[in-house]
Amino acid sequence: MNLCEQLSDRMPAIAAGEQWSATEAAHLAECAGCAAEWAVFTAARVLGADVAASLSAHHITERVLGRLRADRSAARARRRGLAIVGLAAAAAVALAVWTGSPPRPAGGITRGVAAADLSLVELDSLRAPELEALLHSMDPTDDTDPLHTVPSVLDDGDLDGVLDALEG
Amino acid sequence: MSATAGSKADARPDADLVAAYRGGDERAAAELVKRHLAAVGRFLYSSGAGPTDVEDLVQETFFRAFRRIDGWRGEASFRSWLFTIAGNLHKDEYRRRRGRQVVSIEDRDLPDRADPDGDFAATEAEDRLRQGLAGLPRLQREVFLLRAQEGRSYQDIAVALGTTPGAARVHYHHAVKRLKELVR
Repeated sequence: MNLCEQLSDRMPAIAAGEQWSATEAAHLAECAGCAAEWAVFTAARVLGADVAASLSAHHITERVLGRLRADRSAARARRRGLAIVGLAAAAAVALAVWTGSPPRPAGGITRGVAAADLSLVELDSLRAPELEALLHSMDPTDDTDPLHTVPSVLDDGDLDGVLDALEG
Repeated sequence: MSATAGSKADARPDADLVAAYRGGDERAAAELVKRHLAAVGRFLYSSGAGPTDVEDLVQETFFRAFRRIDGWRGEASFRSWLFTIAGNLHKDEYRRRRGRQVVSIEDRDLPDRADPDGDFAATEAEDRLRQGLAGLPRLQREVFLLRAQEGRSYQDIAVALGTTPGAARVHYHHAVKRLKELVR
C-alpha cells in the first residue's frame, strides 16, 4: 500500500479525531492529490449540517408515529372488512345449500343420477345389515315428511311415486 | 404519555431499540428518530434533495423504516439501512420529478453572516460539491457519503449496499476522482 492509499484509508479516523502521523502529515503537505481528496472529504463531512440542525426530532417523531397508527388502524379495518365479506359469503353459500334445491339438469333426473355416479369402494366389503345400519346412522329424516319417507324395498311403482312427489 | 416526551438519552443499542419497537414500545421509535435524524437529513441534502424537501423525505424514510421494521435483520447498521431507504426514496422522487427541477441547489437561502464574501465563496464551494455529488452514479455517491459522513468501513458499506468491500473501495475512488475535478 503506498502512502496515498494509506492516507485515503485513514481519513475517516482522522476526521473522527485521530492525528496524522509525521510521515502522513508531510505527505499530505506535498501531495496535491491527497490534499484535494482530504479537502473534498472534510467538506462532505459537514455538508448539510445546517439543514439537519433545523429538523425537529419531536415534530418528525409525532408525525411518523401518527401515520403509523393510522396505517395500522386502516390495515385492521381492511382485515375486518375482508372477514365480514368472507363470513357473509360463507353464510350465503351455507344457506343456499341448506334450503335450496339444486337446479335440475336438462336431461332429466336420470342424467343427474348418472352424473352423480359416486364410487364408494370402501362400502363394497360391507354386508347388507352393516350397510343398513350405516344408512340409518347417516339419514335422520323426518318420518312425517312424505318426501323423505322411502320404503325399504322399492318397485317400479314406488319409484314413480317418489319421483312424482319430488317433481311436484 | 407522548412517545417523544422526555429528553433523557437512551443508551440502548439500535438493535435493542428496534426489538422494543417491534414489541410495541413507541418510545424506542422516538429514540431511534432522535438518534439518526440529523445523519439521514444530511445524507438526503448531500444527495441533492432540496432543503425544503429534506424534512418530508426524512419523515417518509422513518415511516417506511418502521412500517417494514422486520426488513432490518442487523447485517448492516441500522443507520446504513436507513440510508438505503432514503436513497431509494430520493431516487423515486427524482424519477417522479423528472422534467421538472430536481436538485434545488439554487433555491437555498443564503445565510446572513458577518462576512458575506467569505460565506458566498463557502456556499459556492458547497453548492459545487452538492452538484458534483448529485451528478455521481448512485452507488458511487452513497459509498462516498457513507465513508465521508459516517466514517463507515468498506466492509459495512458493502453489506449495506449489497456489494463487495473491493467494489465499494473502487466506487469510492471513482467518486473522489470526479469530485476533486469539480471542487478544484
